Amino acid sequence: MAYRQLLELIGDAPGLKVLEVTTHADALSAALAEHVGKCGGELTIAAYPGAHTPPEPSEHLKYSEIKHFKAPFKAAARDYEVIILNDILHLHAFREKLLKHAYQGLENSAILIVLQRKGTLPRTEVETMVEACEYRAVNTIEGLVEGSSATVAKKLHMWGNGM
Amino acid sequence: MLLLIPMDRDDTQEGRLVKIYDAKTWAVVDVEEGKIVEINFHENRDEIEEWLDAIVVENDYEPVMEFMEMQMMVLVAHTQRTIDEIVEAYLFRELHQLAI
Repeated sequence: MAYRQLLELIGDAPGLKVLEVTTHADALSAALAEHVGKCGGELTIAAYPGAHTPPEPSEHLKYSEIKHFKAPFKAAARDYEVIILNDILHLHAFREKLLKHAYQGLENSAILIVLQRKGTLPRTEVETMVEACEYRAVNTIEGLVEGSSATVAKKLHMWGNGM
Repeated sequence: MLLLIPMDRDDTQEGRLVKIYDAKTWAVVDVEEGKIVEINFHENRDEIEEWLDAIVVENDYEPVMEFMEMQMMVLVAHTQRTIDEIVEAYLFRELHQLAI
């Protein structure tokens, strides 16, 4: 199964809510949509400018477009168990704000995954940015998604800014 | 700090804060170090290419969920109507948090 390791990482809790913030909704988005659908959860795709092939519409999928790289995506506070920033960090005008925005959108103990195609941003720079925004247990995994580095971090209650 | 204000006209002096659905134009007011640095007006809110920090509304019953989802601060100006009044009240912390 494609993206098996990534899907194992995000888990299969009932009602799982995942947000993918991306510049290219593609096969990964479809795999996420299928996985989240099986859990009875919900995948929200926030599509920044780019070439998108969104998954088939379903009751488990929300899709919204964001028109430029200065705007935030929509995420209510503590709404998601997983947020995936897929090739957006190097393009967005406000990287730090984007990471802090994601932090607020995550539940406590929830996971942030930053996927960056190789050559877009140095791994150490991503890790430093993520740690500076109060995420904990920052770790970069190669090979989770082909051609990309996956920096995984957690929002740990009372270990960062708590919100 | 970028404040978003729904206004009845694009006039920095005479324009007045109105309800969100009545907005004819949207003022984006850049406030830095206690001063207004820049004011821009946009007829269409989708045109605004900025990361906005807060929206100012005129009462507690405005449809602000969309703004809260973008984690913007929602401030209520119960009595202030012009940009000058609103910014002054913001600087003196006289704007209210939304009463939920």
